[in-house]
Amino acid sequence: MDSTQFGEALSNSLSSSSILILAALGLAITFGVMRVINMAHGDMMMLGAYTAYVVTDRRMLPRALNHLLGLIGIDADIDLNIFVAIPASFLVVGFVGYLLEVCLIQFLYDRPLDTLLATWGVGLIMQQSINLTFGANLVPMHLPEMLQGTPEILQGTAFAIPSLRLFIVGVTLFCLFGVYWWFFQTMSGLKIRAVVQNREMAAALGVSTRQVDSITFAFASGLAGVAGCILAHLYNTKYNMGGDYVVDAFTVVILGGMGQLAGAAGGGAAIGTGNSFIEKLLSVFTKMDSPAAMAKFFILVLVVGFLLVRPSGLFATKERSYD
Amino acid sequence: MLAIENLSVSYGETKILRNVSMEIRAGQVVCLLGRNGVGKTTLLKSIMGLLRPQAGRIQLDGSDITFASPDVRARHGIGYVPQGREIFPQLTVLENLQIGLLNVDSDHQPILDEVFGYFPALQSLLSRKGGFLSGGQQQQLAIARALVMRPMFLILDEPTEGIQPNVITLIGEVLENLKKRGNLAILLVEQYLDFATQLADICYVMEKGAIVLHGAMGELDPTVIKPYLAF
Ligand SMILES: Nc1ncnc2c1ncn2[C@@H]1O[C@H](COP(=O)(O)OP(=O)(O)OP(=O)(O)O)[C@@H](O)[C@H]1O
Ligand SMILES: [Mg+2]
Repeated sequence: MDSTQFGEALSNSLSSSSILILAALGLAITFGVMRVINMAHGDMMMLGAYTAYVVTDRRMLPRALNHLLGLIGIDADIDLNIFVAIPASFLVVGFVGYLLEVCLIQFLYDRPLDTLLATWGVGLIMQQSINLTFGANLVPMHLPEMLQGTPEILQGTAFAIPSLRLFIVGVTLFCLFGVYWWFFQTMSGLKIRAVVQNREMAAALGVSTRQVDSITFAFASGLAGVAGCILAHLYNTKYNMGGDYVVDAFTVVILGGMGQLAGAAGGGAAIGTGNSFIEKLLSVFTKMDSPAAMAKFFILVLVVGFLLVRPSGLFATKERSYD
Repeated sequence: MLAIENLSVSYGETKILRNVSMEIRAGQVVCLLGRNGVGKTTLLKSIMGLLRPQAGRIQLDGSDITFASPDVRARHGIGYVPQGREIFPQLTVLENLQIGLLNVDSDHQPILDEVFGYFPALQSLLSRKGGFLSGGQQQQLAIARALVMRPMFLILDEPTEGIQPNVITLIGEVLENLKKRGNLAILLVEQYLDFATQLADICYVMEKGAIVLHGAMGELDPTVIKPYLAF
């Protein structure tokens, strides 16, 4: 593997790790706080991708805004890009998640199988409504100039990582740090941790578990939206993309240890990096047709092997029992 | 203060509480006695809103709270010290207390100082994780955590269970002190009769989910109560 190939594998691993971490972080939060397995999480990512489309495509929101401004006599040429699309996806998909929790999931706590089926059904509904409204496929969104190409100082080195991928890593680190800060440094995070550890007792001490549940679910959905928004800037995306990603995200969550935040980060980085490098090695050394599928298979075997040795995953909680 | 009328509670198909009625006035200490498994914890959880009754009513300070959620009841002034203490194991002692303080608007420090006055041992453990405390320390924390909420009605579920004698004495003194202040109502579940008789004004005895005896502590003959406690 020469240095160009190493650089390619490295930059792939950074972006795919980032997406996996963001997707798995949301799942880990909903599982950790509510013990809910959200099958619509991948479809939340899809919604994030389509939000990116609506926000950044010149024929959609920018045109509507320009038209509106034209009506009041301002000749504007607004062009929205990824910097607006990421917060927009977070808010839009977070709001959808909030509605989903308030209208449906709150009635299904303590019924894990029903939640599984209901969220799966909601996912299908989202897919078809998006398919009918906006079409089945999206081409990658356009990028602002500053995110095109590779930073000059990295050009020609083994670390020739495109600016976009560096930006994605930055967004992911920002989200990770934000979640950490929220959970461990704020009073509302303290409520969440109390609910995770002992829901009944937290309620008996005056913590509104309804509020904690709906806000964390909305936030986790918002993170999926960010992951989807990023995907929409990297690859072609489609209305039924969720299925692929939800499986990957679950693999990360299980590898990391169910409901563990650090696990989502560690597991996402491990799987994302492993996947990209194995894929590159396979394509360089074996010239096989579908190195991506083969790499995925290898990763799955490794994860299963690891879980046989350590069933609780990378980060298992160690705590002394009460008595 | 608290009035329970004909409360019936089930776990699934099994009926645990049958037509339980009880009244607790401000400043009173009421104790509830009964053998293992008669439904004492079930009654306290129903008062706290952690279980839904099939029938009956619960009123607190004149308002009906039968279907209010636990957090609403807590903010309404019920403090709960559960059986088994239920300390948040991964939160520090201070964080456990802060959960109790979340709904308190006034300055927190004097409130904390007051509970440290009751339980001085806690003050040196503030940064220790709750799960690493001994049983007696956890029990003190559980009571302190309920007290910082400034409840008007305090529920304690077997606070002496599995606790060494000197901590039992300390808890007894704290409850005695709280009683002297006169505005707090206390419902105490106990199997340790001597501890209960020292504190309580009124005593209820439960058997198979129903109240079988009740009256002023001084008027109830211990030899009548004892058969309901023996195993
Ligand atoms: N979660 C539950 N599901 C089903 N039955 C339960 C549950 N919790 C308690 N029970 C049953 O309800 C009955 C009353 O239990 P409860 O905990 O109220 O008793 P208790 O009087 O507090 O006993 P102890 O003195 O041992 O604490 C018992 O027969 C118990 O087996
Ligand atoms: Mg009990």
